[in-house]
Amino acid sequence: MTRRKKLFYLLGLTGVFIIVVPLLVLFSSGYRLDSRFRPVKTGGIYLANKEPDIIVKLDKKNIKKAGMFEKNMLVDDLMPKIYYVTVEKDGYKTWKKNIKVEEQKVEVCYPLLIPVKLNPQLVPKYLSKGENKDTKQREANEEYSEAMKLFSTNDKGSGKGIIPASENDDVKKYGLGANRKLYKKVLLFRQKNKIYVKWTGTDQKRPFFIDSSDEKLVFFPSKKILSFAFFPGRHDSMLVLLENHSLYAVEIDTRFDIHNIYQLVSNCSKFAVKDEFLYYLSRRDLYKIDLEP
Amino acid sequence: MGYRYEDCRIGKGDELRGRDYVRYRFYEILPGFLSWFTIFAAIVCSWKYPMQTAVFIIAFDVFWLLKTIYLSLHLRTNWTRIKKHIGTDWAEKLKKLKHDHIYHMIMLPFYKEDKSLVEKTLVTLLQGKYDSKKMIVVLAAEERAGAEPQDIAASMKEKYGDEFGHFIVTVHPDGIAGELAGKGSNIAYAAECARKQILDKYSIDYKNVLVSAFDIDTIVYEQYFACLTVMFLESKRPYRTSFQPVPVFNNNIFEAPAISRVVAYSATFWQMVQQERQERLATFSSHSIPFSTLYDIGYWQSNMVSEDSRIFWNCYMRYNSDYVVTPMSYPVSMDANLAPGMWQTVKNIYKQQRRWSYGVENFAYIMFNFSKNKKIPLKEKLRIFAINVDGYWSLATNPIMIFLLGWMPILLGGRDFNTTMLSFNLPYITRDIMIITMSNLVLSYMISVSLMPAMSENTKRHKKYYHIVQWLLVPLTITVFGAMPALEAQTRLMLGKYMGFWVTPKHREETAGHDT
Repeated sequence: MTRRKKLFYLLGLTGVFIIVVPLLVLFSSGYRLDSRFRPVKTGGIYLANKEPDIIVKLDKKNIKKAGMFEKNMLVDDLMPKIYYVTVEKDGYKTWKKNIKVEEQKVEVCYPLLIPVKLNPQLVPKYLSKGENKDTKQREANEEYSEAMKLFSTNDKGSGKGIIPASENDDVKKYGLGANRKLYKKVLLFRQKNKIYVKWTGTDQKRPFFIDSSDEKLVFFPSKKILSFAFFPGRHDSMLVLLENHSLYAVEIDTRFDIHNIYQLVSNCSKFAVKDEFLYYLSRRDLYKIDLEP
Repeated sequence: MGYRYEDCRIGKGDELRGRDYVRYRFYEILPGFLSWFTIFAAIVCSWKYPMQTAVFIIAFDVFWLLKTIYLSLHLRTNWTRIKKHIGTDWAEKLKKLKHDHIYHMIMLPFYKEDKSLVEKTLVTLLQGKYDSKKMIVVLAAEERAGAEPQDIAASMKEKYGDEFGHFIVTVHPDGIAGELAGKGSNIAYAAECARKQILDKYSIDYKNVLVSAFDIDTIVYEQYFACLTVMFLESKRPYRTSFQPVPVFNNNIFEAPAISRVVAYSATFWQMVQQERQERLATFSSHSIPFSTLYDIGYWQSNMVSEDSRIFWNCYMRYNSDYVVTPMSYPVSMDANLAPGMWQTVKNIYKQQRRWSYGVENFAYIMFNFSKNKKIPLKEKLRIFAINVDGYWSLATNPIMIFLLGWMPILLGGRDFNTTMLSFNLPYITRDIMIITMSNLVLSYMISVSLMPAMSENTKRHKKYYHIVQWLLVPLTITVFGAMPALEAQTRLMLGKYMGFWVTPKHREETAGHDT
């Protein structure tokens, strides 16, 4: 290659570099051109989501749809203002927030999507008679026994049935039990009839749904709280059983005006969580609901 | 006291004392220090200054993309030139030049190679379009390899000795004080033997002899020596230049696994790029040099590892920067890394890359000589300094920065940074830039196919498909087999844990053995 040609390429590519890099940095930082080609600073909303096929609407207009694989979504190019954001999915209750978008900032939200029809399944105490005609030798349903152990463990208040063995040191450290729950460093605790949240890790790693370094009031119902636990597989939501025997899914994130609370079960005396399943007693029957996304 | 080139043929720092030792060690430490400092700084800055680091990462990714484009333009140009040179009838061109006085001394150092491998190399020399009676073959064995290689060498001489103008077998003695066992010391010894036994004995003018320092697995294309002779005779300054062919690793390319092929072709491509940048070109692996020049500079250094590149710097210092490498843009074929078993192959690739990266030892030699040699202009010294620092630094750090540290600001930047648009866009921007950069692999595939031997008709379609898909391994190979061995080599030099010469084991389906 001749020197002249090399110099030509070098200068050309250097020029491209000088032009492209600042533009790319500005674009990445949220700068856009408005309809009059004036630079404006935009912001975004990030939805940490596990459900496929959700539809995001801003001010009731369809903005984005999540695919099978891309579930978390960044909605950008947003002018700074308050948006009425809804996340919808067929067969699920709508999640909503009034989110304030600031320039060059991204607000992170954690939509909690609950199916409209939960389809609770009865968990029998014994396996069906058809398997063993001799009723005296009915086979006990192991799942039922394990679930009932969860209830008795919860009653004792040790919380060990809920907390993985690896976190047993935390039981002592945070006084975990019926009134104090810990999951992924998010501590929920009840004082009187109020549930508070506190982040136990370093402040730099504090999740965005906890917008305070100190303890923060999350839920204060008018009815008495009987028990509460983290929502299966999530550290940003919880399940709360009130004295009216209704079980609710409550998001911990109280930002942006709207606090999403969903009734799951209307006649529940006790509940427990194991893996992605919610077990609850309704009268004397044991039911389970699969809450996995 | 003035500069004496002969006093500055240093292999490593501990050969010196006093201020010279300190100075040499400083230059040995500098490349590794810069590389580690870069990586360390990237991590710390990702933590302390995530915004600025994120901006730097974007800028660096764009720089990397544009640099890839720039180098690809060179690659494409050289590819065109290689095709032209392969298609040229050099033997015909040679007929128009007076060339009967030219001899070719072919240095073939070997260690424990299988007989068939040695024989194939010799047979290929005879099959070329050049008068074999003008060839002086020097089969350089090692005493430390034992009796069998010497027997092989003797049998080769017996079988092919009369086919060539001259054929000698040398046996490099083991344990010579001050020497590092390896290719450099072997061929230096062999060259001196050849000088006495052939050149002086038959009164062959040193100026009429071109020395080609090959590996035992080097297979020359049929017009190599004709091409070399033409370039030598047409050169304006033939005794101030070495001649560098393009190494292609085609001997066993279809037996080698994909990862070995990609690494091998990457080395070929790099050499092709360098052939278009003569101002940066140094000798590498198989190369040629006039014997008079070689004798004048004292042959290859026998006290260090990377004798193939060092010989260029020896000439450069001896002639006060008045020395260049002539790019031949003509290929020689060698073996890709292949061992019995995938894991062994991978280990061998890593070790070979590490040995090649150990060429960083030249940096200290260059800078030390610069500090003594006042005849080389400062501007030239700064130019060489910048080229070398950039070369060693970018090899060891750039792939790591591109592929591993792009996520650092997000991981370490903290809460405030992670609420910014920049932090959310950073992974997407860098991903998109890398996808565009990777599109360059299409060119790599096209060139590699054109340089490869033709696949047989019986080759199954899925195997042909592998030769396309294999290029997706590039991000892995340039990091694991590029940056990491380079970083290790620089670190060893930095810590004074000098490397010895590692012999690349050779393996072909029909033969197995070792090579120097």
